[in-house]
Amino acid sequence: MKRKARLGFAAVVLVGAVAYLMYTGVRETAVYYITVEEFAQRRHSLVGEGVRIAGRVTPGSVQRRMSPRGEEVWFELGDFQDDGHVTPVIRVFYVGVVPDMFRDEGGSDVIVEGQYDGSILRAQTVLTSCPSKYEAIEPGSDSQGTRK
Amino acid sequence: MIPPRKPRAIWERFLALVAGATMVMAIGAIFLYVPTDRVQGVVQRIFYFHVPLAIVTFVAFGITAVGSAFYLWRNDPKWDQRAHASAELGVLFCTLVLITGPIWAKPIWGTWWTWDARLTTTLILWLIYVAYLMLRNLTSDPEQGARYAAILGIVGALDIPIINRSVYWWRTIHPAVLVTREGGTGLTDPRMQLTLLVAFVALLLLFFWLLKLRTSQVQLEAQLAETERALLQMS
Repeated sequence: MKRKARLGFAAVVLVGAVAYLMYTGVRETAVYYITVEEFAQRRHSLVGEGVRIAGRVTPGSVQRRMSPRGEEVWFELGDFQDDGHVTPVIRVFYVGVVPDMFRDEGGSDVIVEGQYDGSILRAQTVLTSCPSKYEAIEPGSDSQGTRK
Repeated sequence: MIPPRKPRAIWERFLALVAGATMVMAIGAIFLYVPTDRVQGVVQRIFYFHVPLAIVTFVAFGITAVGSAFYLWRNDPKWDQRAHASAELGVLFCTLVLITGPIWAKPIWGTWWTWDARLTTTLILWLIYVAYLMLRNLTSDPEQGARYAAILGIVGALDIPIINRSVYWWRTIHPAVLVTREGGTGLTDPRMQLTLLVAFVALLLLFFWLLKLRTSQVQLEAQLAETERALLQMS
């Protein structure tokens, strides 16, 4: 009986620990990012806060300039919808190496981590997310990415 | 009692042969046959290893959970040995998932790792079954260790459906390709679907062959320990 009770106790502790790990792991990441629209609605309460925002780079908005600190990149981040309705845009400033998949033309989908200072988003990290569809490259075309 | 050494069964050799042949076909398909992805380029070919490895990981830990349940129910060490061997291989395959993922993520996402729901829950799965293997040796009584591990082996498998649904339940950077969030498959080219299938079959056969080998090893180890105990009692 004592053995059974100990086994039961161990089971409860284990289940509890696993559930707790899952809960905290998921809570941290449940809101992995906010959208540009959600950011725009809460923009004033987010000044000085760290945020992670997903959106699409506005085509033609990217400006790059070399500086002693590294490459300075300015771009505008908008929402994913391309149904024509105007969404709010965030000005993003980033110093560092952007991923190869970051493009000006066509509008890359990106996730930007950084701090909002009231007017611009100072990015610490720029991640590019990939499409969930794979298509064969056309033979003889050169539309392939920078990777060879 | 020591049973006489059985010659390796014919089906076991056959399994090894088929697994090896399918693996050669899979590697040929991944590097020579399947078309390159238009957006990501050559690096997307990691997909054909990464995804089957993940599915085989789920199969392995699923077997561990079922074996653990049977062990607790029937109290037959054979089930514990199967669960144990499958968990070891599951950790191996899960480790490969966690290695191929970052190699792919670095050029495409721009980072080796990020704490999104799918990556986090997969790391938790790995930790659970590493804990399962450690737990087995933490008690002085091996039978007790096996029972504790069996409980963790069952509970830990609850993480598998969570990983599977994570990309639909939460916002993630990790894409859902096999069944996209909009529905339908992201593999638009039939050659991509075929390559994925061949790679999956190859890795699954490899897993089952390794599982057979490792299970018999674990069983032999148990017999050896028993024989040693019997000899010590005699002397």
